Amino acid sequence: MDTTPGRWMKLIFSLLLLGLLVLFLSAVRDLVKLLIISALLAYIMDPLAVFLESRGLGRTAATAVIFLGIILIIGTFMLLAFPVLSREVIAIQDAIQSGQARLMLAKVERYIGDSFGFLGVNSHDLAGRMQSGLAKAGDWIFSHILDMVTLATDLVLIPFMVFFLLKDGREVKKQLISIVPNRYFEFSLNLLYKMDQQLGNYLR
Amino acid sequence: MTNSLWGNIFKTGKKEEDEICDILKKIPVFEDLSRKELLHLERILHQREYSSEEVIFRQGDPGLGMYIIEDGTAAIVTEPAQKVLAELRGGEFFGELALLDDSPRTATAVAKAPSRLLCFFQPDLLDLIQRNPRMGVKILFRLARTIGERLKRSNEHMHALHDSRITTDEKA
Repeated sequence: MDTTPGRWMKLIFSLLLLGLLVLFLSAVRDLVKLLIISALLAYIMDPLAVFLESRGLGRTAATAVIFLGIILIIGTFMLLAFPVLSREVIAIQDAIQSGQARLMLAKVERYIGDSFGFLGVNSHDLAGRMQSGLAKAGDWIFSHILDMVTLATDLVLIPFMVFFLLKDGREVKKQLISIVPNRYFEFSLNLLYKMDQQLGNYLR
Repeated sequence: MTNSLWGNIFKTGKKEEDEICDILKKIPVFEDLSRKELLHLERILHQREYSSEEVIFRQGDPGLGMYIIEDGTAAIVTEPAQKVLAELRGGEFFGELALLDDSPRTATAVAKAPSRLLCFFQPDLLDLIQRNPRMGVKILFRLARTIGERLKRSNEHMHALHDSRITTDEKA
């Protein structure tokens, strides 16, 4: 093994660089997480983009069509589900306000007491438990507002990242490969291709 | 590449793009491609720079694709005899068989001067066939023709050798 000072310097420099990279990645770990999720989603959607490209669309148009499709599906789902959900919520609200819910809970409590009284379960205070549960849920929402803001930001950022990774992912990959030294270039390209095939069989 | 978001970061000049297109147009495998298709192909190709005497690929390595010399010189050498089979210059290409076949390289390729090569690999060709079957078929058809012509030439060469051997035997 070569033990010249130049070799040691190279090794120390490489370790230092690796340490800095680890520090940097841990500092931006939230962003790395988002990038990984986006890359995975873009990877899953890629065959669809390739299919659209084979039908004569450009990459940008194919990506735009996929996103329009997703927006359309989510929009239709919301349009169909939202009225039903809001009707249910209103019905529950009315039931609580008119005291029907309390009556129903009392009925359930009585039924449990009659049927399972032999087990020693008589008083459950379902109404009280429901109220405290609702209060806890309120507290939980209040204490997790910051998380929700982060979630909302992620929900905005991820589609953007997916869009650009799907559109320009191939270019990014090509540029990353261009960094590889000539000696390992063919090998790394072959390895990437084989990994893509294997991973594709699992994910797609 | 210029139409991508990162186009500003990774951009190549228009002049260089035109030069590459001109080189590609002269390669028999890409003869049938239109200018638009050549530009599309140019975006797929990998551009590599090799210093003098740097090995491009070694005999026995798994073959992955073809190399087009954009600038410089490359020699095709057999090992271990170190016999130079061919010396190729700008605009010439080698290793095209690897686009169809995964078998190991039959010779070593070495850059004989600082060279810039364009590389077109089998995974990129397969991806292209999926995305743009029309263009893929054009390339495959030309590739088949090039290999067919080479086979014809080899047959003629073999026949000539055979005939000359018979004549020599008759004379003896």
